[in-house]
Amino acid sequence: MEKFKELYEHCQKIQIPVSRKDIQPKALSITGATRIAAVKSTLDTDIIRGYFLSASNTEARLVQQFGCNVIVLARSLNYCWERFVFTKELMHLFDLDDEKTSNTLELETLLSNFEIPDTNGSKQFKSDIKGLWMALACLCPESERLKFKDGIEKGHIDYYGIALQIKIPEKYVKYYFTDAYERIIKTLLA
Amino acid sequence: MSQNIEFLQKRIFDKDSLAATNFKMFPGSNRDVSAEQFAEEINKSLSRLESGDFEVLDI
Repeated sequence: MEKFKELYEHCQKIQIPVSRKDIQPKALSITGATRIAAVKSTLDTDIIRGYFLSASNTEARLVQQFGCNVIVLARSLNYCWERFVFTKELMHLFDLDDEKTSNTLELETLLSNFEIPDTNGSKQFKSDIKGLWMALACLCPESERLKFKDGIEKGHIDYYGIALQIKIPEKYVKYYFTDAYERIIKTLLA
Repeated sequence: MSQNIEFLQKRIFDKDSLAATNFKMFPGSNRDVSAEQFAEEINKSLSRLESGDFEVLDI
């Protein structure tokens, strides 16, 4: 994950709330992707909040419209959700070849793994989960996370207050203060 | 195999369709969604994009 480490280190220098304008160009330059389009459209957020699609047929209408990489977000997402889902999907530029959903069986397995979450899910499913932790790491520099952790321990701030400062859904703030966060980020940076 | 999943697989991976090299997603708030329902919503979304139902995101 050398490439992700480079992005992570870049994000450590950014003030909160970390802007997608700071993350996206760096992610493109590190991965060598020439472009990624992001659009908002109608999606039922009970079912799906957004997705990342990388396509190679330049004759296809969608590829002509958006280029090879596109992030599609539900139009109804609020600002914090939009930032978070966008950033998580952007992380799939960093997918290794064997993590990419690149054939019909892998797609069917991915959808099945979301239906019945399996701790022993496919590499594609694990990559989807990994993207979430990568997004969290990009959207809150470690120095700020440690300050927030201290603030929580002292009872000076709560998850809602942190969510307002880093502009992500409150639901995900608690992830920063779990043992899993430090373990997973350490693995991603190893 | 379910109809929507099969349609989505062809739509995404056929060489004369999108010829996709990667697909990932962020699930919604309902935890009881089936693979078939995911596929149906993604199919609908691709059709909506093709029909112009989108705005470019300003980040």
